[in-house]
Amino acid sequence: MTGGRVFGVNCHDFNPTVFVANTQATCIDIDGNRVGGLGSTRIDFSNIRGRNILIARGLIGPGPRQFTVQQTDLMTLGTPGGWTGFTIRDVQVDGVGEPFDIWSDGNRITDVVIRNAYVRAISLKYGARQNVISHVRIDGTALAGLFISPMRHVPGVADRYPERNVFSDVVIAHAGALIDDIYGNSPEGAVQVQGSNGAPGSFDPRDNTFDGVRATGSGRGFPWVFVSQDAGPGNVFRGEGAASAAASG
Amino acid sequence: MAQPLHRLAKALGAALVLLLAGPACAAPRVIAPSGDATGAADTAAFQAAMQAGGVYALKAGGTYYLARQVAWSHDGSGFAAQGGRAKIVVLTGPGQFDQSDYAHLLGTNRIVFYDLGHDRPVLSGLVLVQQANPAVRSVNPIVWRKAANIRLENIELPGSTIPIRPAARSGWTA
Repeated sequence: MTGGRVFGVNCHDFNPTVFVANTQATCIDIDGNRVGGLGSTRIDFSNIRGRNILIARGLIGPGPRQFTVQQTDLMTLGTPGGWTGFTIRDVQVDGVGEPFDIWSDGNRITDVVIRNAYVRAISLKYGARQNVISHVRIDGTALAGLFISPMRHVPGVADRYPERNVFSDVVIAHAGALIDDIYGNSPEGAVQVQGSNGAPGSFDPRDNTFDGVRATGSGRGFPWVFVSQDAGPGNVFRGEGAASAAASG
Repeated sequence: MAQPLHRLAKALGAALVLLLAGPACAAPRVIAPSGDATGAADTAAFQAAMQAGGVYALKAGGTYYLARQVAWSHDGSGFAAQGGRAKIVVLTGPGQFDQSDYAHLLGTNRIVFYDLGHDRPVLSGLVLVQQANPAVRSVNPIVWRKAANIRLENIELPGSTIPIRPAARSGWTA
């Protein structure tokens, strides 16, 4: 899908009452979650609101995906390895598992307020590149405030690292404070390394810039910026909080 | 001096009139809510509108009932409530949007507003409410694929299991 405007979307009170293995609730899902290559581009999103998009507690059973039980997103940009180049601004979200689940490249996300993210607030996954995320306020997460996940590893295809993303003017408060509200433990809370397809140590973000990313009122000892211990070269931490971020990485 | 000013004023006046009048445009076609809670009447009206093409006005504050998919057939088409929002009730009874499983995610009984490949689709000023039905797990209110220059404005999705998917292939909700 190419070009156009999405203005004034308000999703609220999505509460699935039945849980199966891959239950997912998403407000705006671009190019399908976990199916890439459709290549939507140049859409301007603004005035996006989300509230109470959560899989009902008590429905979740033990299983291989227990650490991501809140498969609930405000926006899923699901084009791994593809350039979407969206502009996303003026977003307010409260009570969503993973408000931004970003798989694609070249997006500019700004003026965002996230409260009570029951997994992570902003995730860049599987080689998401050249995204600019700025002017963000996050208060309350179960896991990390910002999360850069494993590289994309597909047999026969060159590995794709999450790289050249920029985070600026991001304030994160009470990261980890909601951990008791989700089922099970996350690998990132336990070992700080989440491998691609279960292979530990393959998490290698590189050449990303964190400028003016600050943490206040930290929660339960989880890293407020979760970057792997195996973080690759070229990541730059500037400004207040840089030492803490580097220690987490 | 007065004469040139007078001519200028006349010219400006003429220009202003032309600007205000604009190109000749027909009154927007309006779909009035039928009140038929079975969805038959409103669904037929919406489907006929998209088969004919164009942007249709919906009545702000009005309630419409849809029982079957409404699919785009033309560029520059869609629905826009005037001066507020219109409520769309997505019916989930048997033979309507009634799917209890996750197969065939693009099935016509899972997607309410569906566009494949048109330019300038429009939806504006809608509240989409899914009729309560615990047996139904998979309804997508809006799926637009391979469209261009989209306009999706002022959409509210309250209290339902349904996502809004401007370009979707997979994934689901329950």
